[in-house]
Amino acid sequence: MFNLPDYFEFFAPVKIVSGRKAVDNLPYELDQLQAKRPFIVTDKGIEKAGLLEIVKKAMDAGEMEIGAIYDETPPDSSIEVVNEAAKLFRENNCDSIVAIGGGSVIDTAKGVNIVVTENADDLSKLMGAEVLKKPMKPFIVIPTTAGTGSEVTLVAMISNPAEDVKMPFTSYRLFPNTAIIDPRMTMTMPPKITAATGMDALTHAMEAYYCNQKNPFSDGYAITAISMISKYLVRAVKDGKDEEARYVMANAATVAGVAFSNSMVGVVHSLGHAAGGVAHIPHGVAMAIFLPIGLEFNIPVAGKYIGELLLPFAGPEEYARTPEEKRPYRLIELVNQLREELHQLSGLPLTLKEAGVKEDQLEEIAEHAINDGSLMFNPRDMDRKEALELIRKAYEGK
Amino acid sequence: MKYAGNRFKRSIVKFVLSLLGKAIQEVSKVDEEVKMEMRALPEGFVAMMKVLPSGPSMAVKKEGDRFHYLGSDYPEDKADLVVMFKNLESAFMVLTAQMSTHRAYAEHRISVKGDLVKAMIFTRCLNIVQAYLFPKFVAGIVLKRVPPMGGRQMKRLKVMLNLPFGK
Repeated sequence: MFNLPDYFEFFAPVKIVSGRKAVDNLPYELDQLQAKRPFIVTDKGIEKAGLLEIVKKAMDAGEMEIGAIYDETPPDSSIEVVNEAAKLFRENNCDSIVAIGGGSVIDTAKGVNIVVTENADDLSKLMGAEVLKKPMKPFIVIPTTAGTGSEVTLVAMISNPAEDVKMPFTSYRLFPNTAIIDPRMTMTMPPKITAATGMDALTHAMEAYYCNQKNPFSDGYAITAISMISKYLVRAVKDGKDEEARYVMANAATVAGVAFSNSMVGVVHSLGHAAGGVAHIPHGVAMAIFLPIGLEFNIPVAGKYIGELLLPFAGPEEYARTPEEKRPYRLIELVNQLREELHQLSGLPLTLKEAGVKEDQLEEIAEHAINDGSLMFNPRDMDRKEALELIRKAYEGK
Repeated sequence: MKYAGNRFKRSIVKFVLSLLGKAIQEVSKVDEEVKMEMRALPEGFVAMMKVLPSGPSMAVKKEGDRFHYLGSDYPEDKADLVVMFKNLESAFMVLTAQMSTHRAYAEHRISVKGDLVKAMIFTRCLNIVQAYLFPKFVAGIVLKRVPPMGGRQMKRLKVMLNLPFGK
């Protein structure tokens, strides 16, 4: 019998505008949302890479004025950054938000949308899951990395430096209205970031397939994303100018985003958020390090689903010649091979030690990991001791 | 309420919530693991469980190294953390051990207002409390992992004896 959950919810309300010169549709899409003075959230790197120019040119051609630009987003967005950007939004009477960047920029933009919509002075007063009620400002996302999937998710991760944790905000209100996927916007990503963000997308798709909110809809998205990533990630890392690979990866990240936004993520993200919060390692790097460890940890309770991922990841021949009980282990072997290849091509760290984490930070990471909300959706529970064991394994790489 | 079934379920949910509140209070007096988890919560922290739209509910407050049961009519806006069942039926299923808390989260039957890190800590405390309340075979259904109760049987007896005398 088909393994249908007793009850599930699925929501994917983001309009996808994807393809060649898609950014040129930005003014039209804003107009469709009745927006007149968009507030742009981005970072200095985007500006330096010339990506902001592409957007400014499109806005000029569409005869639409930019209300204000906030380009101070740091790699790890925080409550202070969100509150500062929200102030700029208000001072310039903006009426909508356009995020141009990777995960941190998109999360910052979501945070700004919460603060200006709820008319709050401080984001930390609005924490929680599914508690935001008011309709948000029109919100368009143009991702410049192919990984976070944040352009189609209901989650914003924003760090709270005072407590050294990343705080999750989840609400159906946080979905952007539109995501514009334009291959031009990811072409300048360096190989290491391409590799790390690609592993982030792969983790989203894999965890979405076996975590507790999985359903037939999210499964379809997860499998599609895994198949795209397994065929194109190495190509995109090898040759950043490979437009086809960039285009497929940009879409794969969005497809994986729809999957995990509905089925949620598990222990790989619990450990990764914790490592990011405590040791400030990039999220994609953490995902690449913890993915095989998280898969292995879940085999006792979700081995069947993990084994099924061998088909989209390695193709029908590999799947058919691997006995059913060995499929989850074979998948982990192949994921490790992919990590090794990415390491050779781009220097992607394979252990926490290589990523610069200090041994005396491991216990603190474990403590944060068991308090991460994503653990709730992992099929297997993880206690302090187990978290520390997994983190030590990730630290040493064995 | 027009439907007798709903009235019945509401009474059961109200009763189980009050039992749970008293149990959290009693278990926090004797269980070292709950006390250890509670250290990460600020003094005066109030956690509340509520059925939408208008109750029943219960709240507990951290006072020193234990929780104090605040009864069933604590104002929601004063609570630091509110775990909300979206409807009566969902609350009934979870509180009568027909559905685990983690399954209820996974099925969007619960929403949370407040710091999710503290929600995770409170959930771990609740898991231990449920292991005290339920026989092992029921705890095995409602918890992802049943905390070992081997050395806790005397404490369990104490909790059970004190339950009727909570607030």
